[in-house]
Amino acid sequence: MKKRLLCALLACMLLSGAMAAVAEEVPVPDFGKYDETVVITAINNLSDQVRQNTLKDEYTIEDNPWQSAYLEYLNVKREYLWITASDEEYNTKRSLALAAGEIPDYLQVSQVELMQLAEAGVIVDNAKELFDEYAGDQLKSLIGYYGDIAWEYGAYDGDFYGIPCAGGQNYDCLDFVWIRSDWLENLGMQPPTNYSELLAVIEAFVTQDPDGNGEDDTFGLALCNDLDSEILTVESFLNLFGAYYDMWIEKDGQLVYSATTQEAKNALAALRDMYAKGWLDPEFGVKDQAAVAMDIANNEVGVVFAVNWAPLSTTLNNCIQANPEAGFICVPAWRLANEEGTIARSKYDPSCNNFIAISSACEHPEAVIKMMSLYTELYANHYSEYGITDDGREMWHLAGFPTLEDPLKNCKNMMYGGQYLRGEVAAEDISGEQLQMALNVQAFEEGDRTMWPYYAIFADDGEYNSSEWFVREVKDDYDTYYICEGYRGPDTQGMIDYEGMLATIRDEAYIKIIIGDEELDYFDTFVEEWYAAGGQTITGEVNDWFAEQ
Amino acid sequence: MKEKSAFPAVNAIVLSLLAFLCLFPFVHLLALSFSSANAANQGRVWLWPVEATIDAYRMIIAKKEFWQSALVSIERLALGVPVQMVLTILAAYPLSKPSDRFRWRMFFAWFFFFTMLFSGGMIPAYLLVRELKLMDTLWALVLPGAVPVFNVVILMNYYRSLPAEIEEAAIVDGASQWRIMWRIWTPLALPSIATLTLFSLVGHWNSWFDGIIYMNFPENYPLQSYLRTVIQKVDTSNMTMEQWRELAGTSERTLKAAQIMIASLPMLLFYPFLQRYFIKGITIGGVKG
Amino acid sequence: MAGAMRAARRKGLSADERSWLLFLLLPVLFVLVFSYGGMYGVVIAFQRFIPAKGLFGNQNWVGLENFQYVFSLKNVWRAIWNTLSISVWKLVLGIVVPVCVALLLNEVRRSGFKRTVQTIVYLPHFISWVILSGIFLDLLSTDGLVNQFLGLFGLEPIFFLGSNRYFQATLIVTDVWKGFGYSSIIYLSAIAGIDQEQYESARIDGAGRFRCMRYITLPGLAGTIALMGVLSIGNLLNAGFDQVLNMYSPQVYETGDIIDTFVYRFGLLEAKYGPSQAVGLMKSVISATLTVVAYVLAYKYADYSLF
Repeated sequence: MKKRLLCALLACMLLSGAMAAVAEEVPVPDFGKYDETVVITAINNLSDQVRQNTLKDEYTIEDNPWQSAYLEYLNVKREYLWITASDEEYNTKRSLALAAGEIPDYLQVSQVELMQLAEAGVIVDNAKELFDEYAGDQLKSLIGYYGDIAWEYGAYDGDFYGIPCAGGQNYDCLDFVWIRSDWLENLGMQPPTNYSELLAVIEAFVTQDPDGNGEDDTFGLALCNDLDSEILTVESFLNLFGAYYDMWIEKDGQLVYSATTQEAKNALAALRDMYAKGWLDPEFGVKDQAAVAMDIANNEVGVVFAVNWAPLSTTLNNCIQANPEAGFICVPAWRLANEEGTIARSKYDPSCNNFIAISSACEHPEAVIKMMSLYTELYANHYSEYGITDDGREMWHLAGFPTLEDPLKNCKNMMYGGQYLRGEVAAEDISGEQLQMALNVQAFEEGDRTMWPYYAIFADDGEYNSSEWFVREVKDDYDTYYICEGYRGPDTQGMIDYEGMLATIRDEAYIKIIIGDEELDYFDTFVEEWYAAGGQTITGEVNDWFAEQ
Repeated sequence: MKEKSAFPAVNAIVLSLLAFLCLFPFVHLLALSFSSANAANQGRVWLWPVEATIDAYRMIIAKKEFWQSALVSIERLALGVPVQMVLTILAAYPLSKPSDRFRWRMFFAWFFFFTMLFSGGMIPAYLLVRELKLMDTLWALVLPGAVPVFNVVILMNYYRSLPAEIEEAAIVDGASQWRIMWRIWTPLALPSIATLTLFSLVGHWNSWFDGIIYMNFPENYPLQSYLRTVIQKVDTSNMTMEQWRELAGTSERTLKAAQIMIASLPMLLFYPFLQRYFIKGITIGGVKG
Repeated sequence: MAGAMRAARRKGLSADERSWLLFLLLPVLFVLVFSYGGMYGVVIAFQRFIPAKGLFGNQNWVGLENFQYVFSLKNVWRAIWNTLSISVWKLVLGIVVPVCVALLLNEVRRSGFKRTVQTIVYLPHFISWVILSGIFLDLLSTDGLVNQFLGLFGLEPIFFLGSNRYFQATLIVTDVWKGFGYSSIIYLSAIAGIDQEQYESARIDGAGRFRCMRYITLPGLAGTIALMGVLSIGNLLNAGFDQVLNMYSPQVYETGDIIDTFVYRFGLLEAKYGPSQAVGLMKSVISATLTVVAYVLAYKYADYSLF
């Protein structure tokens, strides 16, 4: 039921986005400017790259467009207590600072940390009331995309302590098969339209010397030792069999863990078969993503399962940059289901593990909500100043809040960018990000090969580009293409205790089966082991929750 | 006879191999730092630059964050090493006196030694620095470790190995203890002092953890703390699209190599000059048979 | 010690003692503030510590609950086991390799060559783990130089830093690599202290190079080796925080997580303050005991005295 709700939301969202046709110079709404300057303390984490990119010339941590904006529109002066340069440092420093009783007026926390702070009674318990009262429309709609369920993840003793920032999970994050288009041409093959054609392409890439160098030096499908990554993932291959990687699936009124199902066994059997035929790199079990990226760049493998934005990763881009003749097309994974005529669905996970908490010592807790409202407003409608500037400075990092963006922004970049390039809309009528992506696409088409990633993701030319696929097929019918995570409660005790270990057991078993260290029927042994090592406990907890729904 | 003639050659080869083993990582890095990004990304660089270029160094020269941190490190050395050395001498000299002349000797020796065995952990240390208002200042990197107990022990033992008659002669001449410590004993202990100065230099140059904890802004990080944030392998498995976008296009490998080379340079330059002291300096003090 | 204090009170301070106490004032003050000042932090081990309430806040005292909890965790035992297995190897190889190198160096007659080799093998000791980890990450990655080299012999790439099979060995070897040259100094100087007449008379008796090594140099080194061995007992629970923290990754927690990294991660990254402090306290107590035992042994049998 929640799933339906979600999908209904999604559909109307895209509609409204299309109708609003975005931004000329929108005046900044009044969020309630203070008469006297209010000081809000904060902490942040900015990597070296970000600092180099944003804090050059005249800008500093204290003085930059975002600081000025908060001051100008809200009369809020934000003071940073400290800033770190990596996640690890940030966590260390935050733990130390909290232990020393030093709590900034607002901070970004995970769900577990939110619960700890709530228990200590040092953050406000009326985050939702504050939000409802002070949040601007833009902020409300962005947070609202993820529904009330996101708030539930931040509840402690019935009160809402955190503002859920689930952002960053784009709805168009679907998996594709990225295939070397120049190799297809060399062999005179068409992009695959179903599973057996995919196998045919993989086989041809192994046996028919697709790079034409006269040597038997290519593999079919690229995988790496990290089964859980979004690039080079086995997840999307498992999806082809309806055997999701890490997910609770509803079956016969019960929730079962995806890795214990017959579908998973079938998918592994297929991979095992490919490995035995020499279609996979025999060393994939010891190669990490970077090593496989190097193989791809060295023309050793040409079929890669990866998400829609994969061209931006070095995994694909290094190959394009190192080989002038190379090209990749993407074929949606959902069309390649093992069972002819069905759609291979992807997992959708509505959970939220990222919150803004407000200190109870903060004299103006509502100021934080106002800042967030201003942030989302400026980001959406004044992108070239506060998002990414024309010369590529990613100013949004300095906003001091987690990314909250339109979950469909990639598609909109493609749609409106394409309209702009065809002269259907003017530059002023689309957002700065859309314009910039469009210009990047144009630059590629005019010969700037370094812009290939933007072309591959955002081009609107009727070819095989990832955002187009989404708009063409997925956008009106989410239920068909997504399957919602079956368990939507907070982490259970069993998960906290066993989940890490169970994941290791699963990945080890998968690799052993694929590379033939164990028989296929070892899968059943693995399932037993999985249940014995804590899986049984978690399954019980998860189904208790399910029964209550 | 045959053995006699073969051994030196074999020995020389073995030792040369060992020396090579110690050196080649640095040579490889040096080669990487002078190679093109493409060559580095495709793994074509061994011990000699491929498609030689000084691009990486050109980028570093323009990288103000790097030089900012280097400056912090240099300031830290300038402040921290003298403080450590003065305090080391001040502590080691009295403790080197025999227990019958300095009856508190054992008490203070244990007082210092005990701190090598126990510590309260990071939280109180952080709190202390915060309460003393040292956060984000150079003093936070210098004061908490101002008395290097291990060095005190080494210097104390070195002092003790010096002949006591020298002091007696000086006392007869009417020299004060202060004068004896600075004018007579310290010059006599030169090998040990030189060695400890090297330890102190290396220690301050190489520490990174305190920089991260006590400095509030990355601009104030010493070089090693800064490098750590740059060097650490990015965990690409959970990266978002935005993070990838930041990474895209930068050739991290050669740039990292160049930064590592520059950061190790001072130590590589310092230590051969002090090397001739430290065989004497540590062994006489540290291990007395 | 108490006797000395009483004696001091009885007789009053001598002029020298007064100046010495004055000299000690500053160092003692620093140690008092920064080392002893922080020791009350151990109370966290006995509290259900809620960070935001602060170190002096109204925390809940829970007695030994934290200890019970942590020692019921599998990861703690794993960390203890890893620590021991890593440190014992480092301890043994950290003596054997430098002794061998010292023996070899001692046989070199040309002093220019000897000095060059010495300068080079001491070098890694002076480079921080931050930098070395950067170097090794590059060198030992699956596409790094070492694996390319192994590839020449048709070997599959080894995931030195990412596989539980090799990670401990990688830690041990790189640590020995960093320290062996520098540690050989002590043995070289001990060799230099051996009476040269012994060699001469042995040579007159017709003893070859290896016989001299076996019957004169090694026995001459035995005392130093035993001493270094005993003293390193105190480090049994230190498997190298700096090194491991800079080189490990979640994939190799299984074999690479040591007590110190566990305490750090558990306490500061996962914010389990009390239990983490409990582990740290246990480690401190055991380490301190071992150190004291080691020095007592060294004092008794090698006549070695720290002070």
